[in-house]
Amino acid sequence: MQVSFGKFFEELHGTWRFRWQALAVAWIVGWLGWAGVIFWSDMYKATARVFVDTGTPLKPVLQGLAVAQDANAQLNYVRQSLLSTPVLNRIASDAGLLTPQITDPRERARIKEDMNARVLITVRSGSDLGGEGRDSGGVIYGIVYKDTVRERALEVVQQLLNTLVKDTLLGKRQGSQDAQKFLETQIKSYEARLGEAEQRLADFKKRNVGVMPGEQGGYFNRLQSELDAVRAAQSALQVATSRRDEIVQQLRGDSLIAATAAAPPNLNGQNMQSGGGLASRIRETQAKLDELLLKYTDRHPDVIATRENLDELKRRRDADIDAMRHGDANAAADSGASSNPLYQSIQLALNQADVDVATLRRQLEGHRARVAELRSALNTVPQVEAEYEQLNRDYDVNKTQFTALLTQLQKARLGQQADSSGAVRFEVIEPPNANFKPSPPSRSQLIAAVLAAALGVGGGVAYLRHQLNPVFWSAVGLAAMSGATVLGVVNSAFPEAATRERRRDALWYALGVVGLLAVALLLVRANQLSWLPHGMERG
Amino acid sequence: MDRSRLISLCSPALQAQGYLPEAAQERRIANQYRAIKRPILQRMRAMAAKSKPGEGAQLLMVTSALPGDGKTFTSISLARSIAREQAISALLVDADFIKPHISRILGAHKDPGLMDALADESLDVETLVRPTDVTGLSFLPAGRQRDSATELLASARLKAVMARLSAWDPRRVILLDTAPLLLSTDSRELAQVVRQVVLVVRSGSTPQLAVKEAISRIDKEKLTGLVLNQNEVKANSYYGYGSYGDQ
Repeated sequence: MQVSFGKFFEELHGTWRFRWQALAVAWIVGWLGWAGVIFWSDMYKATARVFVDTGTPLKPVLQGLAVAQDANAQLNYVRQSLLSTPVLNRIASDAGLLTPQITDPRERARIKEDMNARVLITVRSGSDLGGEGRDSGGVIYGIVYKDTVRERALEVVQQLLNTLVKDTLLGKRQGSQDAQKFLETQIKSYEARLGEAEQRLADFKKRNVGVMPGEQGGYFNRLQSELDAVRAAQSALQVATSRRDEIVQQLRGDSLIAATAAAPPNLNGQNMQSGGGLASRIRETQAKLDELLLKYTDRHPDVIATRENLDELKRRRDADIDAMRHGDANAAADSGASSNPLYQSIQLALNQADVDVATLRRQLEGHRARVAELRSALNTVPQVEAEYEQLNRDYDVNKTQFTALLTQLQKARLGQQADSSGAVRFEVIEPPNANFKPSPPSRSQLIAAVLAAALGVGGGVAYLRHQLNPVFWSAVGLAAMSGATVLGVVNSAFPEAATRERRRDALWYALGVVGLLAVALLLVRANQLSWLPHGMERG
Repeated sequence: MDRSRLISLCSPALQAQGYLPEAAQERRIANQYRAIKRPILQRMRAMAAKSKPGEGAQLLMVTSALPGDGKTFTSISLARSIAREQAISALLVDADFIKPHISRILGAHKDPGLMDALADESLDVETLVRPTDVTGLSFLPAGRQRDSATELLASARLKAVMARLSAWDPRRVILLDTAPLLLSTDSRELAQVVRQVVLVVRSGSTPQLAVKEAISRIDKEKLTGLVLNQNEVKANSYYGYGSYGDQ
């Protein structure tokens, strides 16, 4: 610690060598700086702040339509309209910046440009206010303007604020109308889409009747009932078939044949040609034969012919019986068996049984076919389900959008009405005000700053020179640096005189520094009393 | 001895001009120079033991890097300190031909001196040596200014003159006070004839670079050492060694 302390003093001592140069530099820098301050004019700052709730009409209208309401875009719009030429002109002349005396167009342009450059409009999110919650979406506009004359700054800010308020309303209304137009177009397109989706859905339903989800419950039931019907039909068929077979057996029974063979001739006209006719012809022939045998012998040609005839007829009759046995209906009819009432009734029963069997068979086939149909239809069910889902979704989406748009359009229309009745929220949270003190840096501050700079530069110069030109302060340092032996150290021969000299020097030096400080103070005071000239009159 | 030739080294005028310490500092500074002369004399004795008279073992040069470093003060003080030694005497020679400061302050700047002896071969330099009111200390002025100083110094005449001075009394230390090293080339010539060089550095004033440069111009063998002059008492208390043994 001692070492560094000593080092510090060494550095100080070394810098002190160049103190007079430092002072000279300080004086030069000071005067140059203060001359520059003359050209600086004090500026007064006027501000105003207004809170505008953009939550009404603009935001909810466009919410959900992926159109972000950009605060910057709004700000640009506002700034452009606030600082447009006609507005600037008006404000400039009202505030006294542009007087009728200034006729040079270039001068006028310069003044307006100047003014434009000194206006600062800021926008901040209104959520910083808290309380309302972020959804309110309000913004705070800040207007800042600086001028050399306080009253003028205030006037300009006041004018700008008025213009802003008017433009806000107007700007909002325009935005609302645009939004409505946009909505209407969107609604039309969604309407069309919705119609298409409905149509597609209807077509689909038509195509897939019976297989639609929800109807499938009954569908499975149907399949089940058909399967049951198949089984029932099968068993019924079996029963009918066996009954029929029984009847056939009955028909072919010997007793039946015997009965039919002995049946008396039925003189029904129909029977003559058929089997009944055959039996009677056999009897006739037999009678004829008997008659002939009474007259003639077996060798008589008539008898032989008649016997042959009779044999022939008998053969035919046997053949018919055979055929009857085998169920030939014609044979049965020919043989006259059908004229037998018993036979006829059995035959009827047989016919009915045949009909029943046929009917049942048809029914069975029908049921089987329907089962197959149902089964194949059921296979396509998952596909149908999926497609149906899709179509439903499409439809729902379109419908939701459509409904939403309609709602918003309503809101927008309502909102606009609210607008014109003056319901847009804005609040001047900071009315135009201007500080009586000039905004920093003021001239007084600059004067002090120049002083500080002067002293700093002076000190810096001295220190720099010290660093560039080091000397020896001790034998140790000398020995180390030179590498040679130090024979010895000799103190100041006249310490008191030296001290006196140093003191005198220091005094003069202090005077020089104090002088600089005094000049600074004087300048500040003069500035406060407005004695200091202004180099350039600023617009 | 001719009293008119006596040089006064104890005058208050000298003190007023700052070449003699004030009474309060006298003792302390005397001690400091005592410390300084010791190694010089030791070296000198060693050299003298190895050489013959007239070879200039007693020749000592006091110089500095830049003017204002306290060379003159050191020369005078060192000469006085050496003169107090028993059995040896001192001869202070003003060899600063650019600014013969010592000669002036001692009032002998118009008197003939070294330069004259160099210029005039017939002149015996010893006759120009002046006694002073300090016992054991004599003084040789610089002599009259000449344009041809440099040439004269470079000549063999210088060696002869120095030989004459050193042969006169082997026990007489010859102190040459020369011009600042960085300001003239004379010192280089003079450095050729001396056996020891002492460089004076002023504390808080002589730039380090200048000291370095000056040292580089001196023959390493001959540089006996440095003297730090005008050191502030306060700053010295931790670093220096010179206050130790004082008072």
